Amino acid sequence: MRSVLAIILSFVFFSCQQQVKKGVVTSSKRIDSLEIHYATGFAVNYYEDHKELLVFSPDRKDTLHRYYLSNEVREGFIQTPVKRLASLSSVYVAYIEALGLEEYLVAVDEKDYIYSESIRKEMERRDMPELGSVEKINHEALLMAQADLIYSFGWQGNTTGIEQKYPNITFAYAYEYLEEQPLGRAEWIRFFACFFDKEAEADSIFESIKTNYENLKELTVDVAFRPKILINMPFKEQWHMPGGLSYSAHLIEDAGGYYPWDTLQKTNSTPIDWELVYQKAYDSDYWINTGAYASYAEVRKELPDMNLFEAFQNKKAFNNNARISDFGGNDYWESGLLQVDDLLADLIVIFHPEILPNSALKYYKPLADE
Amino acid sequence: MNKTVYRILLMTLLLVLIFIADILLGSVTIPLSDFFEYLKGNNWSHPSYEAIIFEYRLPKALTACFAGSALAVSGLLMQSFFRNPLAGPYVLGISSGASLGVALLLLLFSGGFLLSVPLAACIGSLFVLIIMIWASKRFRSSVSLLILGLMISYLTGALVGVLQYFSRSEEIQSFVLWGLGSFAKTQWLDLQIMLPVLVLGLVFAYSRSKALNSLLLGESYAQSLGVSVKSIRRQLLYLVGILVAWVTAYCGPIAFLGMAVPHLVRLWVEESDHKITIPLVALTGACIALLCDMIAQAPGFDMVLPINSITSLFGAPFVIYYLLKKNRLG
Repeated sequence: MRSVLAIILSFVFFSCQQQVKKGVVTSSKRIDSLEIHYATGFAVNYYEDHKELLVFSPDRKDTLHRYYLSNEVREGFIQTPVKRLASLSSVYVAYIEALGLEEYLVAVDEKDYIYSESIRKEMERRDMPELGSVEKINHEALLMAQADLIYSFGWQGNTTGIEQKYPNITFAYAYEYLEEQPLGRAEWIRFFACFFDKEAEADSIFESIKTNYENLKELTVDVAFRPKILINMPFKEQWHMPGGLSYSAHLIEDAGGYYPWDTLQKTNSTPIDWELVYQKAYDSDYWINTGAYASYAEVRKELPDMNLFEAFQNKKAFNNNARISDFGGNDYWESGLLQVDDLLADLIVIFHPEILPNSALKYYKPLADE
Repeated sequence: MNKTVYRILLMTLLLVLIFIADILLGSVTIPLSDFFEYLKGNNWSHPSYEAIIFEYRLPKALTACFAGSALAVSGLLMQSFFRNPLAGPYVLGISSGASLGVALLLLLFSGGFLLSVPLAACIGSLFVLIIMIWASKRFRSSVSLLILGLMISYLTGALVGVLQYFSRSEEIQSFVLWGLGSFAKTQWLDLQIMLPVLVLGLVFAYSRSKALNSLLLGESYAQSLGVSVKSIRRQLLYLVGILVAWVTAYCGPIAFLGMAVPHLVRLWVEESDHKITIPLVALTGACIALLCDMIAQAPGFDMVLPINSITSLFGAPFVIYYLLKKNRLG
């Protein structure tokens, strides 16, 4: 009995030890930190001979991941610039393309999900392997790809155990999807750039997006009328409404719209009963992000209740599927996450066509009439 | 007989009360005074109330009512058919057929197909029904049929598993959501097709009461009474198949009700005469489905709960309690 207990305890101890992050002791002095404008999920510190990347928990109280980057080969350090990169989600494709990292890319999660033309060409040219998603990763393909670095979305500090299996691969866990501000999400390009010593490029890309976004936002500050916006579609009787502090809520607000759930003090979505949504938003002026549905007829067939909403009756529904590849990859979830200025411009064109009279929609298009 | 009439009247009254309560309650609290004002011809105090009541809650309550009845009666018929208390409307593998149809539509064709979900479910279940009817001509014993139904469930389950493994998470989500069941999917237009079929099915079931009674005594006994076992078996298969396929098409697979309600009724009235049990089971099924719908709406909360979890979560302990109590008395 005692030996069984000892075995169990040693297992517990052993597995706990596995969780402890490898700390790197250096004697060099901190010389600078990256000045971050909107993102809250990461920080970059510059030391004399290396840089340190920190990734924070969603509540920003803990440091979930630490990465030590150096140009030289050192124990516990990631050597930069990284030579072989893999991406476990198509959302990183825009950052990869903008930073010009196509040539370093050696594997992607699933080719069909990717919209970017330059990356599609690169994938075809080199017959890039597919790894599958994190939960059902193709281990042999991962080994074959010989990646040094993998961009993967973070699991709030929980790991899938995959990085313990591959100690030679660095998993760069990104939490850009938790950023409240659209510009915060775009700013993560500066995080991704660090692994390739491309901070200067990232800064200038981000700077131009930021300036554009802020100028556009300025245009809607004093609009006399803020149209009421209904977003997403119901799953059965339930509607998953983004919180009032979320990325989507900020975009609507910045585009001069009124989001009826702006008082929900949270970032993630809340399930809300159909009845309550209807009560609050039956008289919405616009309905955006209509999901998988491309036409009014399709919605009427699958979600007949939508017919009761004024935005639907008045044919004021817009979907974010204007740029879709032949295989279904949607650019809204790619460059749309980085080029948030273009995304904002789209929403302004929809909500206030008089403000940007000569602009065409990029990511959005009206729901097809029939 | 008097007792039966009294019981049926009691259940009908209960059904009416629960039906009204189901319409009054929901996550949006509509003041009772609004209803009286509306009856007097005045307007609702909020413009959204009218649609919530007439376009949302009323069709949902009607669907729950009839789906509950149809499933409960199907369960009763299957239990008599197999003379097995574990049988339920889904032993024929019909819901598995429906879920395969929906899985093919949502997962393989990503929903971008000409069919709608109810139609896919209906085609899937009718496909299984045809196999069962074909098999029933070849199998002598009902037990073989029961096993065939189980095997079909395993087969379709495996196929659905493979489909799920290769699907996107959004597609899996919509499939899983379908599998959780819902009474709220139906519109007035759907009800116009759904209700007549279910009502006809229930009436037909009632008209076969005598033959069903003789089945309970054993197939040879039934034969000696002049009942054609073969034809009643065929009729029952068609009937249950169509009832279940119809309900599953509109509501998804609704768990538990079909199997449990006949037991509840049998515990309450010690009768096996189908002339009495069929109407009682139908009424009880409707009441319980409405009650579950009411709980699922979680009045006072912002969200709804999946109906399938409610039927089993609240239904199973109730049946267990009832069984225990009954056994102690007996």
